[in-house]
Amino acid sequence: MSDAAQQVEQDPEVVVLYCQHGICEQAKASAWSQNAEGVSVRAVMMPCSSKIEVPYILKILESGAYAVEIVACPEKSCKLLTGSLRAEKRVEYVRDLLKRIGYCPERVGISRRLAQKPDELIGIARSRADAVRPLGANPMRI
Amino acid sequence: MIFAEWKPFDELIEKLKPYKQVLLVGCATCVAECAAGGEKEVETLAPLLRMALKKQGRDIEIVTATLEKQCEWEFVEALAEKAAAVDAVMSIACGIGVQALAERFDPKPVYPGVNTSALTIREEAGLWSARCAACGDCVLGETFGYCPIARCAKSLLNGPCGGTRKNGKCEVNEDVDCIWNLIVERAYERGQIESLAVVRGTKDWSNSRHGGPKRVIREDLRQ
Repeated sequence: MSDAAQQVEQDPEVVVLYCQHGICEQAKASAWSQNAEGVSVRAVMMPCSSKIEVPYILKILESGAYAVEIVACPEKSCKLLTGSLRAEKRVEYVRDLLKRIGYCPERVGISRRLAQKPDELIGIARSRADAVRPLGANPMRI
Repeated sequence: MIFAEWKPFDELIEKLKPYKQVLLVGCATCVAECAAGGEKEVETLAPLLRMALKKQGRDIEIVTATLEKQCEWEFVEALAEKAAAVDAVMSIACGIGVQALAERFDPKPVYPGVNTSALTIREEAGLWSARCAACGDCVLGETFGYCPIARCAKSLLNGPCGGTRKNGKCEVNEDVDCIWNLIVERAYERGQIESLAVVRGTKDWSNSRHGGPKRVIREDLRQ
């Protein structure tokens, strides 16, 4: 059954897991939440995007989040060299798993950015929310 | 290591549907090494199953545990309390672990969550290949350390078959080395090519699965 048949949430929550280098120095915080226009953002800073394991992403979705966005460093900018590449492969793997259980893989995405301001991270979250809005709410919420 | 892979989700979900509480159990040994049944895989599969079941309108509680070894009774015993509290158990250990749980916790239904398929080596991250077929009559001493039973598509004892590709790969799978090509190359390197001229006779399969269920007794180790 497609997620499109599910009820659309009013204020979708997007969880952003970002590499510590994905946000500007002045705005560094381990975790923060913000309600912005059309999206509720819950952001968690990671030491590196490669530390984002598959179960983390799935448990966030299981808990009812609308979508998960990973913000990793651009290729060749990763301080752990291949960390962001690992994150990208894991995202692909999770998306494939979601497809196999009948979930829309677009609920998980990855962006490659450096030194973002919080507003820019919110913009990334909003883009992810917009991309999955037609799918409706996470079926775990219904 | 013993190699296993998750069963298809449809099959897993079908098995769990009748229950209210299920225990998903991993094993931190072989199946963890092949990324199918360790703690990380338990914590990956559990949310996936919950999500898939919820999507089908079924609220099934899935609790998790990972044993150090599911093939040793001492470790299995640690699961007694959790197993008693659920309607069914799904194990993502190899077939040995599944049977150990089924025997210890009888009559609790115990289902396999993986298909156990080979004895492998991890060649590199994310790549495993079969190295042993547990045939019970090892010929590695005659084949320069390459197993023709597990690694030849036809399990030939007197190879190669004639279907070797020009690049030394197997005619059945172009990504796989023709093991007899490697055996011949190593024999040449060691100056022992003549040893391969000896025709190996019919293999004795009686010490493998073909000889019936295996049972080994070592009196010196028994109590």
